[in-house]
Amino acid sequence: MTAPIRIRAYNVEFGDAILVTVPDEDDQGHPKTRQLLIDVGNKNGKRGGNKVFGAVVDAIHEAIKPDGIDLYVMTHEHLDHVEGLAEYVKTHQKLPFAIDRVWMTASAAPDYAARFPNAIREKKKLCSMYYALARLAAAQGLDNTDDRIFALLENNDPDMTDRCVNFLRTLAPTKTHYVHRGMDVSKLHPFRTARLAVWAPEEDSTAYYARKKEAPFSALGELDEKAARTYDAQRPIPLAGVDVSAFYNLVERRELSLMEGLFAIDKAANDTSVVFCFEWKRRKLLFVGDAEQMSWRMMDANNLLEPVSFLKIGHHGSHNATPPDELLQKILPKGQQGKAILSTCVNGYNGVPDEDTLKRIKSRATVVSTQDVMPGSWVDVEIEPG
Amino acid sequence: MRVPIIVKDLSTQERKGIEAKDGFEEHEIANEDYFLDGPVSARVAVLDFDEKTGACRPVPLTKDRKGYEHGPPPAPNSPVSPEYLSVSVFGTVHKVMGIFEEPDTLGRRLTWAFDRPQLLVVPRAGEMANAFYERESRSLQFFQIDDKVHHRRVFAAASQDIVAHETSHAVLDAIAPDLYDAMTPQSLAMHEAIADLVALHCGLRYRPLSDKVLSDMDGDLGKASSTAFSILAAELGEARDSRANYLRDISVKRGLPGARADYAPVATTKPHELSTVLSGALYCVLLQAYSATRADLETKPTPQQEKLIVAYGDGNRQHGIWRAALYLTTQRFKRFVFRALDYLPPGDATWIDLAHAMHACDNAYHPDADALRSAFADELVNRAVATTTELELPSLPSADLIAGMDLATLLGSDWAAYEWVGRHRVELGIPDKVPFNVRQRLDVKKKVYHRGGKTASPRELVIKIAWEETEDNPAGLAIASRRSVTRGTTVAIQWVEDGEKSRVIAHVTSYDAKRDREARDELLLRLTDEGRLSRARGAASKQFASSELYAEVAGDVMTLKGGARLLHIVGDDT
Repeated sequence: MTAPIRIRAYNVEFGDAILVTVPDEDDQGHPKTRQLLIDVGNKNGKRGGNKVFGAVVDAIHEAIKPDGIDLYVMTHEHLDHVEGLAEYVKTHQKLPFAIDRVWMTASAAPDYAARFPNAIREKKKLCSMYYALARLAAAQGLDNTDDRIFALLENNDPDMTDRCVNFLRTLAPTKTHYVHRGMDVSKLHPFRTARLAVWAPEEDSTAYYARKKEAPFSALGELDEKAARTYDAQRPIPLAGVDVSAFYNLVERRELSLMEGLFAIDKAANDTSVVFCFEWKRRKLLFVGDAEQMSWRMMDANNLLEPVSFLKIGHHGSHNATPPDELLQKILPKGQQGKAILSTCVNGYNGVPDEDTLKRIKSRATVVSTQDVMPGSWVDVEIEPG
Repeated sequence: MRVPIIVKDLSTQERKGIEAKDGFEEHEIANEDYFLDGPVSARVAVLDFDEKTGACRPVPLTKDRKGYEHGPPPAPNSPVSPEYLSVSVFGTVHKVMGIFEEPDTLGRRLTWAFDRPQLLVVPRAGEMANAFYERESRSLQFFQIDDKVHHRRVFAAASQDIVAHETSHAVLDAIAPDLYDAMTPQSLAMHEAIADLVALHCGLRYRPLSDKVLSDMDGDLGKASSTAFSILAAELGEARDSRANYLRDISVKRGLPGARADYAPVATTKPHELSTVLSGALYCVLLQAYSATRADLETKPTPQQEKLIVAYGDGNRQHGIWRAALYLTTQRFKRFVFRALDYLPPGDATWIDLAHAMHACDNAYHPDADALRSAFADELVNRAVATTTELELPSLPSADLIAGMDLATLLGSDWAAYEWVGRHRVELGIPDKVPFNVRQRLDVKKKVYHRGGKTASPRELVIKIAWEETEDNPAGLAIASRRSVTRGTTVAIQWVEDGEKSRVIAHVTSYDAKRDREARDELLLRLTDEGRLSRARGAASKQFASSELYAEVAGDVMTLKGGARLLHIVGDDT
């Protein structure tokens, strides 16, 4: 009898580290267990959160040894998805296991700028906006006092993310693939008894980056990177005769707009998440990274959505990464109680996890959450063959 | 205080060959308690946030040779310095407020829809081809972009059209605050159309421009479909898209689906695009009124009109007729459109409600001069906005409605107002057993002009009453299965000191049309589909993402808050 497939989510505080242990076959058709690792990251580095990576990576090693990772997937370029392995190597010199093959989101490809200059131009605009917003937040003392701003600033830091992504590109230099919807990945993975299909992102990520409207109250011009990094931000004070209460209300809304600018940056990267369906023994498992509504709508427009037995809940349970009911019905139909994993942490992000969203998912699937275990520990979901 | 204000904008001035000295006008601001550097008055404060640092710096007010308190003049070759911009936008905002407060418009002092005395105005709000009014921040925001073709920085605040338009949103919010929370596309489009018509009105009052246009058209404004009057925000429009000559042209001939064949159909829930049907209709009325007035002046001017022709003519009778006709038409049109806004019923007022309000208001003081009313009705019917039957005004309630009622008590006492409304809810059209809310009670004194130069200053008591009605949401809208829509009624009473002679002169109640319910369905579904409408956690006005709209939900009933934010903030522009 075939063993179940096991999906293990580690509590990395706020981030994802998902290990999928797949009962598979070797080239001769003999049973062989293969390992799929998705992400490993955490956004709490500046507040000591990186300590958890030692325990998590060691636990992954313990779970798979003597084997290595057959396929590693970096869903998207956010610190809470990419930082863990690089941080581990920083403190432990090297990873305790080998990684044979790597998938990364299409827009992380080194030649992406040459192939999709428009997308990169839009992405760079967001990066410049990030630097200026970071300085504005610092000038207003919000980068340390407002947890929501702190979280967004840290998670979207382009410099830190770039360093981690560069490291991930070195894990399996000759077998690193930058994947997107429509790509034939049948020969780009090691599994003999499973079929993988990439549902998202679109290869051209221009739409993800360019659709964001400027933050309505942002006083920032369209700064180039250099100007943005040296932006001389000051906190305004009211003029004589101006209604002070109204003035500070306006200033506060401008500051909130700063958050909105950061959210725009955050959403764009989330929508570049690799979303893939892992079909094994007549069971479908869906891993969605942090894909948000735009990505879901595109998947639906491409008629990709179909019922699955398992869902890795997107974006740590936020309301903007789980699709509306009519789309949710397509992947988790009511009455066919599926299974889902939530990898999250309370007080990590404003409104995450979202209780209403979880309620909607729980009406369709049994949800297991990393919130129920200590950091460094894990929860498992098993899916029997169909 | 007198301040210089930029008229129309630089592009229009260049296109029409208007000399630099005529590119601005001096506007006198009266009726304010104080003026301070900023500029700041009791009701308007300009906040110039430095583009480089975000710091807020006041623009000093200086005195010129004439002794007027005056903003600093523009630097050579730089007519839109931050200082000049601040002073100009300050003056323009006050100018628009003044248009509404004039005795022959609303005849009352405006107070903002929000709970503070000052409207904050940010002339350099950031890098975007946009401008907007937002009640939650009590502010007008004007943005700026580079015009890469003409190699200049273009400020939305340097366009009188744009400043007038956005200020009108704030003013309309003060007059009809429910429109801000409307979920009926026509209600939102009405906000937009009125704002465009105020911008048009400002242009019509600008003598150097009107002289050029009248001269180019040989006094016949209908000669070309589009003129420098009908084109709004030329400079920003050009900077945003070098192939465009403007941001808006209100002369377009458009109608709703089912309109006469020569009107281009507009089937959308987007307020900007939809608004062009209404503004286009009213623009046509304006042209017809001008044409009729000009013909009158040419053939049978009254002695007073004759004086006006001579005064405007500068020795040229033909020019005097054109200018006088334009002046008289502009004033009459202002009274026809803007004065009626106080008669709008509360809630999601539709264009039929507006037509009823305009008809009632105009009829109250000009019962024998129905040319504008008929022209507007024809335009609405041609554009399939309404049928002739729908435009008919219900008959006024009987005199019993105010019999024995002391109007001063009705004005001053909340208890008396609720008691009176409760007693007359059937005559007032309030549905049975529905709780109602007595809204504004306005005491206004208007100036009314009659043919032959006679004027009158009637006093009015205007009472507004609102209530909520629920209706089903369309299938597929996950937020809630039902929604609450605000509706209402407005009663205008001519207030004569001898109470026996006071009489109801207008009664306008929300008109319920199936197509408006369907349009609400369509709007909510579209916003949801576009990911721009979500359920509020707490009060919608306190929600975080200012680029989204929020629905407040209680039980399984929702209401949309801040729908007017679609007008510019949330990016629903065409």
